[in-house]
Amino acid sequence: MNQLRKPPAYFKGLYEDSSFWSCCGLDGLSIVFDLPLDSIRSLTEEQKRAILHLLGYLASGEDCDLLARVVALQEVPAEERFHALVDLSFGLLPELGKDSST
Amino acid sequence: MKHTSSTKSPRGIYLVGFSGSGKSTISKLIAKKLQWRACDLDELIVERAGLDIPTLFSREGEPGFRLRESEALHAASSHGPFVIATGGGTVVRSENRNLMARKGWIIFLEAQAEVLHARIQRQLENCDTKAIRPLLDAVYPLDQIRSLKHTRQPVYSLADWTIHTDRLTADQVADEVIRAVHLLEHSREPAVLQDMVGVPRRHSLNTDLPPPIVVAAGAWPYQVIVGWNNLSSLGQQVKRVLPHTHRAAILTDASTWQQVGSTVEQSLGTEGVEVHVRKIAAQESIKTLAEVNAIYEWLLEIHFHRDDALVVIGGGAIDDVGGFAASTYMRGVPLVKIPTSLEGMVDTSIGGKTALNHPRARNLIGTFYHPRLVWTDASLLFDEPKEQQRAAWAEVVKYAMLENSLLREEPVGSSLFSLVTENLGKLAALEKGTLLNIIARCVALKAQVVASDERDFGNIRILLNYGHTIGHALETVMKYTLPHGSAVSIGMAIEARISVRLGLAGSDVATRQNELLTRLGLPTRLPEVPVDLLLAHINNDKKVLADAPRWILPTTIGRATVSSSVTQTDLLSVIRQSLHHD
Repeated sequence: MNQLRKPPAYFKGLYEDSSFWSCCGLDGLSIVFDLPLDSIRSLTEEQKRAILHLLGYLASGEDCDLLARVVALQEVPAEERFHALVDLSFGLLPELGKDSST
Repeated sequence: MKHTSSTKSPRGIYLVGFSGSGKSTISKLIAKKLQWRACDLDELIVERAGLDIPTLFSREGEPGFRLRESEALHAASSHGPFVIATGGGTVVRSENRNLMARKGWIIFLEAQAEVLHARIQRQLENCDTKAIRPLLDAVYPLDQIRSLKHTRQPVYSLADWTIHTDRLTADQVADEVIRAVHLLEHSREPAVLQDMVGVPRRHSLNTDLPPPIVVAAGAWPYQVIVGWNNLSSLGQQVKRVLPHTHRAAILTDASTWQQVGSTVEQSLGTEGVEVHVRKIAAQESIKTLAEVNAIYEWLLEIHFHRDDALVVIGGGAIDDVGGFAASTYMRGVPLVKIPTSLEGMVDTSIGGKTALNHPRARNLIGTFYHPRLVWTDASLLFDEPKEQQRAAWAEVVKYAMLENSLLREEPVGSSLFSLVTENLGKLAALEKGTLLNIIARCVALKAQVVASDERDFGNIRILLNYGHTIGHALETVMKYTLPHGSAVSIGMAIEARISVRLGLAGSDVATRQNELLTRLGLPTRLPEVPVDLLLAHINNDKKVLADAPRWILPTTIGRATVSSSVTQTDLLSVIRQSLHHD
């Protein structure tokens, strides 16, 4: 996957698809970011919400640097992408605790 | 599914199915053909909240969204006739299923994962960037659809009718739904099948056995099989649920293994599962991190693989330590539970809680981790020590006192309270039919609660703590010399009296409950303990909320409420009363 195949509109479309989230719940993050279902389910509720928040930032298209970093993650193995997303999303929720380890 | 017998007015239609199955489009087509009201549940949720669904997830998390979803479903179902396109996850919650079963026909629109993937791909190509659907053309997302769909399949299969939509146009599907509803409306009333959160199909033709109960909680739904003398079939079921399992690591105590070992080993061996056994003492002292570490070492020695099964045979402490080990080894390995105690069969083997003790507090350490299968052989209860078994009946009475609140409706047929009260002799004799019925009823109630409120965030699972606020405090004061069930029995007796004092329940509620407890050989009177110490422990209870314990107080037989309004004066008065008479 390269940047042309994952434009900001991709994340915006994903984030705004209500029926997708309604159906899949936060398990849907596995589909959005091409991750094994078990990896998403290993996270706490807060961590999953934080990654959803991250997706919201990507959807807004305002943070080009963040967007570039996430797009680049499509080229790395799933496990590396998973940990990177958890790290990138850490702290995005005001009430998140300090420990983001999975 | 529970059905009402009336066909005087048309029942509504609920369309259920995975994302991309066409529910929204087809609901509008059906409504147009029937001239009924169409409703898209997701749209209704957004309208009521004034926020889109991703924002709701972001702000309130998935539990918050699902609560709103249930409320919207209630609202949409309040006047008919209707065609409701539910969200893909609506049917997962048992309370939603129960409502839908009462108000309408549940029609499942099934499609293969590949077809769903292709439909979404076409949408991607056809839509503008604002309406891009997720799932691109890589193979991996198709695997994710399959995984998610697989976890949903057991609850989708509870529908009244399934339509395979792969080869049909939307119009054809709409016509099929209407035809199905017509057939259902004019069909003969089937024998009442209790929706025990489960697959209503019987796993055998033996009508003496309860059907499997599916617990739709955790990462995957799992079955609770309640049977009699059924250990010889264990291997087959384990292999069905865990087809990649080649090794079973069994945790149990010596006495239990002596009873059941040869049958279990043969049953698993017949299915090509290699059996390894570790015997540990069935006592509270094993619930330590050191014991768990020893289990890890053992699993390493036997080359336990992440697809193998950790099988816990026993009750209480073995269940706790085995569950914790399964939840943490390799970040989680398949767990199979075979409870051997009444308390395990009706309560602790379901629900997913594991617990270890810390030197400073009991059950301080733990995880939520569900098994892949719970296999109950009720005939094993003949070998359970009678005093331990008698104490466990307190948990059954607890379920009976909460039944309607947990089900959120009247049970079909006799209440659990009546069933127990009217069959005390049979229960004392461990009569097969009555015992299986009661165990299955309790399991179904617990399964319903767990599915609705797995992590104890809402006001449902907390109800199961009835009798436990006082019970836990009493256990601590008596340094755990009192059996847990006896402590809970006294706790329920006192908490019922509190409810009467507060005017929440009539005096007959406490009287009837306490009479039943007494007839079961359980205590309802507080032993001589330092009252101030008891009060101190009650106030330190983990359910304290803003300095006030949350009390579960019965209002009638079968119903209870959560209250933080119990004053120290109320508590002291009832405790003193409980010291002196029943």
